[in-house]
Amino acid sequence: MRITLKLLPPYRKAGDAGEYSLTLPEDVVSLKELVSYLSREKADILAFELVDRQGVLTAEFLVNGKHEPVEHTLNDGDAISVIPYICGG
Amino acid sequence: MSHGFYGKFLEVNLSTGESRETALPDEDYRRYLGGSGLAAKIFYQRGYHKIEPLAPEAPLLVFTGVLTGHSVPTACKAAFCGRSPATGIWAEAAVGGYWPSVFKTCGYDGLIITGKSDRPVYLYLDGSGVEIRSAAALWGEDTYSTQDKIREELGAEVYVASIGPAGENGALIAAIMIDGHDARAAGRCGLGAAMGAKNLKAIAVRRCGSPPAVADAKDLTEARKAVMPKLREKAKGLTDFGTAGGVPVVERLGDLPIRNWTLGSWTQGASKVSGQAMVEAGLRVKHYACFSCPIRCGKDMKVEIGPYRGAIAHGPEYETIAGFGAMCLNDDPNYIIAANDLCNRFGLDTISTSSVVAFAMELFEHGLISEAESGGLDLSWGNGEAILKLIPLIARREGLGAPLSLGVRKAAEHFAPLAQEFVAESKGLELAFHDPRAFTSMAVVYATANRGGCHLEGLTYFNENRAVPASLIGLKDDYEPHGIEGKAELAKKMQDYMSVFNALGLCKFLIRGHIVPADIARWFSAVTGWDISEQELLHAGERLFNLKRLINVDLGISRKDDTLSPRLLAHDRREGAAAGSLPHLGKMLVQYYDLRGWSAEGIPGHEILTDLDLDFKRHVS
Ligand code: SF4
Repeated sequence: MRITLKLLPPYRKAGDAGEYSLTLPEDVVSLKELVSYLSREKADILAFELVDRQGVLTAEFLVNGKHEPVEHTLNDGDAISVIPYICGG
Repeated sequence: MSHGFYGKFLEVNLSTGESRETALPDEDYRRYLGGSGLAAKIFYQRGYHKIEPLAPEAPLLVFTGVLTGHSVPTACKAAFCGRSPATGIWAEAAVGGYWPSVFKTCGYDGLIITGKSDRPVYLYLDGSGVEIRSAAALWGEDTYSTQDKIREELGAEVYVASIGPAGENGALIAAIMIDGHDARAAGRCGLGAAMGAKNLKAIAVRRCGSPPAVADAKDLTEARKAVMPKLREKAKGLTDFGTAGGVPVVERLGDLPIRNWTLGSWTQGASKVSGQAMVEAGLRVKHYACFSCPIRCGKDMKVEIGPYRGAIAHGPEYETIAGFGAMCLNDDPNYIIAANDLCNRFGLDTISTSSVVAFAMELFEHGLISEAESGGLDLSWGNGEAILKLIPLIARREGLGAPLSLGVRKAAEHFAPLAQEFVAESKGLELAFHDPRAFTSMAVVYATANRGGCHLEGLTYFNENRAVPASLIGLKDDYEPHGIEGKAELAKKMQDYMSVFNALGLCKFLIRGHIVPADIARWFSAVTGWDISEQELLHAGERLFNLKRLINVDLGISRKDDTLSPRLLAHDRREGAAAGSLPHLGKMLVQYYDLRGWSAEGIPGHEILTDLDLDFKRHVS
């Protein structure tokens, strides 16, 4: 499966457009597995960890422009944006 | 017949002890929505803004929203309003918890308190009018024990809004606190001092059955059910870690103000003080939810140090962590929890209080406060013990605490002229802790917020980082965080939308659950029986924002005041994700005024006032 990955700050490295076309291994079928894959295999493109040291996900995801939960199943050709999860208030 | 609200409010004059009911037409509820909207309408129409904030005749207005107390997600809020003792302009401070929903069962939509008692008193509403009771035994008590003692007198079914010693002593950064140990705060604008000036310690309310019946209970239930899945899913982070979640991400984006807004990076510190770190350290005891809230963002924490060691305390929220953590370079969460608890007990706003503490630390660093002036306190950056010692001094207005209790703008006037360089405020209100150099739309939000440096009037950092898609309110989703394109429109549209929440009695964190105007319009329609469209709702929001601007314009506010301290407009940071970024406020303001239909001086024009039905003549009734 091929996807387009767009990293927003703080995940994008300085001076990097943050856009990648990736071919995913067969066992990556959901956003959750994509997080593991990126953290494990593609850490070099990430400027900030997707999962913090407490094991908490720091990101949210847009799939084809729509917010989706981590259980969401991916499809060939999906455009995935990685955005920071912010609480604040 | 009206549904969902009483159509009347109560007026109490503490000088004479008299009270009376005043009726309002249904039309006013549809146009001003209740809460701070209705309060602003009455405030302006009666010419209340001409009265000095701490004068005996100054009014304190407390209004619930039309939705408050009903089975609507987060319909838990009331708004305390008046003229701010801190800034001299329009003040509103919304608060949730349970007190507002209990107030809503007492027969009135709101309360206007004027006059000054000659002795400490508190008000008691039990559904059969109001009683003015002696607060002689409560004066000097903190906000937790005030509720405890009133409950000893009147029973556990009573909920209390009160001031602590800070409000009694006239600290201009004093809050009004709700629900005793659960410690929800009507924090900003110094309205605690307004209560103190009236010798009014508390307002106690007893639950008296249910709020007024709604028009269509079945549709309301269905409308509530319809949004639950997205609310639970999208706001899950708030449920898990509260507003304190994600502090390291905020730091990495350059949004976290560090060392009194001077640094752009504090990576290690941020990871130590985040909500996640507090959970990992075993400090969180339990979750807390305000009335009718499925999000449950509140967290109760263990206090491990300080005078109340061993207690369980509410919070701290993100703002408090940013304030007593990053702003003061304190990376020990235990000191943040203890400082938060002290502020809640003394009745101090944590944003303003931590701002003045950080300000004092910077003055100390530059030798503008000597150790003698600080009363022997070592105000070095990061000194948690000094923070805990300074808070009671501020509340009691003793020693160094006296000038600091006035807020940063007035405190800077007290110290050397150089001190002006160390403040971060707008219209005299300390900025909340989202940096406008990281998300530049926040510069417009802060500069034009009707109560001064308030983040909640816009919350556009959520849109800029796409946590809340701006497309939910009909705008584009992509913004360049440090650029200016589209920012004026984003600020305006979000301000109009946010104006609806404090008026209807809803929590603004609903937007983290992707609640859209159409959802709220449906709840409003089901409760009142009126057919409200999302356009009508947003038009009402725009009306309320402009109405408060009119109040401020009458008080002399114009373009010259729509600005931020130089620290945020002219001092860029050297490190972090927002290094080198400065908001071009001037350019954005030109666009913003144009979009609002305001003159180049920031005065609402005739055309927009006519469109919003705000061209009414004021009269004193
Ligand atoms: S989201 Fe938090 S602050 Fe808002 S109503 Fe719920 S518990 Fe209260």
